[in-house]
Amino acid sequence: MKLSLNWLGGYLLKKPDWSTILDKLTMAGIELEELKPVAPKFNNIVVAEVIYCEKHQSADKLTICKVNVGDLDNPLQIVCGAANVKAGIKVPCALVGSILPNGITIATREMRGVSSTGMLCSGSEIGCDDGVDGLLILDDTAVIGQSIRETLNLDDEIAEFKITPNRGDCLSVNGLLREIKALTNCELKESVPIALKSSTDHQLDINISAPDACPNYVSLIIEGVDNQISLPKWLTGRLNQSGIRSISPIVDIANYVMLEYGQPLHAFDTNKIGAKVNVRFAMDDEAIKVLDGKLVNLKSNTLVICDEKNQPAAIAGVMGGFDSGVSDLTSNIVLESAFFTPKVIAGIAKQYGLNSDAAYRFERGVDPNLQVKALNYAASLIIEFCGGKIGKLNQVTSLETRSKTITLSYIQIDNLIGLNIDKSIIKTILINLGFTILANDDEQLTVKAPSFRFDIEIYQDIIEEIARVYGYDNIKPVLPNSLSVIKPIAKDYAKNNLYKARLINLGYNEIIGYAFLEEKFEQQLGIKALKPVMLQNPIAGLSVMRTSLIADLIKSLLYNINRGCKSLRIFELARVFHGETEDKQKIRIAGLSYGQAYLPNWANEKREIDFFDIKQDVMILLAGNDEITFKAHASENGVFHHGRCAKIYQNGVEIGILGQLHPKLTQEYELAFGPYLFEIDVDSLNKQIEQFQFIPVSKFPRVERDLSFVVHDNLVVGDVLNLIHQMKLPWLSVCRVIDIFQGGNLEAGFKSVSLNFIFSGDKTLTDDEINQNIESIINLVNTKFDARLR
Amino acid sequence: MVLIVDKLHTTLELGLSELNQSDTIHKLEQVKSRYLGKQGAISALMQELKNLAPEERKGFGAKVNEIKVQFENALITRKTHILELELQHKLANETIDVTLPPRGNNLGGLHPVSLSLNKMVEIFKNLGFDVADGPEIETDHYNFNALNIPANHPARAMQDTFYTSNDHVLRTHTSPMQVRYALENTPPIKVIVPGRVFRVDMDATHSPMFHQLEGLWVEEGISFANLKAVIINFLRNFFENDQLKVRFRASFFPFTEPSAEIDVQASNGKWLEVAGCGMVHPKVLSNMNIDPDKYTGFAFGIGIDRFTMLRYGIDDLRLMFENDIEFLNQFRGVN
Repeated sequence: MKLSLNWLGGYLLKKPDWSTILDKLTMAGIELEELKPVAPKFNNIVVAEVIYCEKHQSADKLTICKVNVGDLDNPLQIVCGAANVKAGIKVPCALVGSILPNGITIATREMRGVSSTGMLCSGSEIGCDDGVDGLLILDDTAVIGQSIRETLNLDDEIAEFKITPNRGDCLSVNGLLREIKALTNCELKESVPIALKSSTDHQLDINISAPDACPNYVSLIIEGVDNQISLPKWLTGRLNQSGIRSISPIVDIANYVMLEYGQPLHAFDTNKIGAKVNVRFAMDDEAIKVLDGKLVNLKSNTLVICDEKNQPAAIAGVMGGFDSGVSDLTSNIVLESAFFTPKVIAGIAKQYGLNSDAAYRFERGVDPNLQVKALNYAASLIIEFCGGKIGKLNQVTSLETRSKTITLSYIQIDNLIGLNIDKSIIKTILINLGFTILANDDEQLTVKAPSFRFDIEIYQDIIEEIARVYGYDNIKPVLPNSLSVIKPIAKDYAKNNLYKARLINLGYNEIIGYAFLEEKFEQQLGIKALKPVMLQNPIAGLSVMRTSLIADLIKSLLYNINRGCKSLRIFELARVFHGETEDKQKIRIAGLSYGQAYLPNWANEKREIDFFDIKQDVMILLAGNDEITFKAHASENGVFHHGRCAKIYQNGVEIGILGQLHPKLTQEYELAFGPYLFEIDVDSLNKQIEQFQFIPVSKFPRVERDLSFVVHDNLVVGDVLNLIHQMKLPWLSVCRVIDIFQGGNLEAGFKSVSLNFIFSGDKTLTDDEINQNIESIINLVNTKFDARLR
Repeated sequence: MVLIVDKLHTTLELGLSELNQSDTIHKLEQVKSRYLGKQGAISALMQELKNLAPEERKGFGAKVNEIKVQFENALITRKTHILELELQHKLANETIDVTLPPRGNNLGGLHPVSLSLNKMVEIFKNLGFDVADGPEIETDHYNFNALNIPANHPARAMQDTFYTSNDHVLRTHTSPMQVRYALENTPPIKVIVPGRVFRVDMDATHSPMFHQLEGLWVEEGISFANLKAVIINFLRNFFENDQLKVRFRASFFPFTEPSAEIDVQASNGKWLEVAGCGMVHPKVLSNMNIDPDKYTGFAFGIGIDRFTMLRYGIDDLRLMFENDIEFLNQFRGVN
């Protein structure tokens, strides 16, 4: 909420020390977000009256003016370039020697042969842009010679406060003054009670059909008002400074009273609603065109004010109806001041997409004791500025005195705050905040919250009041004296960090993508068998929850390539979303490797990253996880290259995929190379970590043997390795592929696969034992794969 | 006799000279065999013995031996010298330009958010906190109701929420995990929850996805003074500044009472809001199945991205999630 400090300060008995007050407010929960001077620094600019004008002989656009700045006998001669200059107007005039906000110093100077002593100013030249191209024309009432800062109230600052939702009571001048008084003991000026005299006995007939929703409804009929007058600038100026647009005198006064008292008011045109209102809930088929022009189809949760024909004339506490509101021609009005139950108003403005200062206050709670007072104040201002005759005030109330009392003990206070605060200080704080102490002894006290506080429900709320006024900064920090639980760090967290560390050592940079992305990318790169979770209210076109991390890797690749990057290794560890429930949000780790295998170098080592580079990376990433296997996967989903894709398994359970991006996509993204990608379901993997088991180190010599098989060239070598692995030969510790050969003297359609075996055991292995193993390998491979030794 | 003694000296001089002219081990071996071999010059001198008178033989034999020893010593010296020369030569030949860069690839790096997060976890780990993680698509119940934010409560407007369906949202804070974790554990509870959170907001200073670290400590006798001490210690450790000024400002969160915002003082004297905290609201404790009359607790929520920017002097939030490699590379090898 934005407010002029002069407005606030005007009600304080002594000249306030704003910096202390604003700091206290901030520390006590009424945060000052911004403080802006109304106008920038300048001096020696005064109100001047133009008394005579003539055209400059040698310049079309210049006017020579005689200007009265206080000494009528000695007017100044000023040459002015503004088009709206004319005799009789009052304007700001910068005297010789004054410094404008833009730093220019005004001096006497010649303008095309004519001497000019001073400058007539536009709004923007003095930092008060009024949007007018030309001089700032002042009210007739402006005092000639007076400093323009005084005339326009420019020695003021606008404070913007961040009022938290629990403190609706601070959304007004009076509310803030109350808080200032409680926090700083500043004295307020005594307020003069407003006495209204009815000139007619006309009054509104009020029927409340929903008393729980509207416990207090007060109204006043005022007849013969003039809604076309101009309100004084100080009043509309304050509205503008608080961010409220000036609309018409009646509406502006209602808003002004809302800002000052915190009570939203509404004015109806009596001729349009008649002499009777009914407050009831809307029916489902009703509609109303509201003040901002929108047609609203009402729902039955919405409280409405109905006219004498029982047709909705306003959405209670939110917005008036377009047709029942005041216009330029309105002369008779019904002024409404009501208390609506916060729960009834809550959510209604949002439900209809309406922006409403009234609803903002009613939702948070308006003091139920304020209605008559605010109505009287508004009526007095209307009579003062718009004229008219006041009818009889009518009030229908079913208000029960809110008598919620809370009892709390001093021990509870000390324990929750962690500090022993003097009992008399506690009582003073509560009394200053408007609480009534109903009972108190050495151990406890019973208090009642003031009617404007809607946020006090439990004893902890009272303790917060005490603590914040006492000052959080005055509470001494005390480390808890127990270290009662010490838990081992969560395994998943540690494991995931290990995976990250491995990829970093392999040259991958971690990226962080949003969890949502464009539909196009999800369709191209997401998991096609899934129906992705969609956002109901996306921004920037990011409407789909990602089912895979691959799309964000590709997006980052494209971004970096656009910025001149040629090779890239990146990864991300994050959730993917296969549904809304917890079990459908698994953590994955995914990586992308693109471009050259090596940085450009002097040794001319140069080649593109290939499948086996990324497979190597994946194997290092997964090292220590038992039983990782790869199976060729002729992917049909269009994300991966059919012939360069494998699924990753742990103990036969699928845990991930790796491969090259489908050439079609590589082409569509205009990539120079096909990026290689992997994605692994870390959650499943973590759950499959087996207990580590130590195996004694063999003290006996290792035996190495090599074998070369000739097999059909379409045989997948992984199958051979799996077969040998499944033999579970007790002494075979390593089996690896050391050569693949085709051509030469081999017949077409065949290839040679050379394997290297290492045997070791808990004794010295004899040649016979090794040979038996080798024989059984040869026999099995030969029969299973139609192979022969080379 | 004189003649033959001259021959001895000539042979030795010739031999020593040949040794000194040899510049490889191979040549040296040839010289050796020419003098010490069976047919060698020094061996040949021994053959002269039989031509001498018996009384002369003894003296001559001793002389030949003397020459032989002299020759052998010179041979060893020369051999050592040649080996040394050859080694020097080899070293000179093998010299490379060690200032050339290596050929492989660079180290990768963690995202700065992860770096900060790790540091936070490290600090809280020292205080015995557990680390938990939870779903990012959260139910309306856990994200709001369980945290004392009922439907239509004005506090809901504090956080613009992404909805995936009528009863599921992208969590707007990590606080839902407070309740989830507390329901699965019994007090004393000490847990932190780092993670992604989401709000409908995207401009120069807001990202629709950002990171929070939630903390919860529930135990008998925990107070606001305790909360202050833990937070201040954490902040001073994180920013590695024992003198860091921290202030607690009254504020409002539906799930804590009392509530506070936490500000730290920047080097320019300005206060920067870095976190929110408070004593867990009794209604929230009840929703955790914890007796609010017996236990108290505090909770806090820290903006990890904000902390990261402060820590590394990153001045533009947008850089954080563009994943520009030029940006990311700067954090290689950084802790």
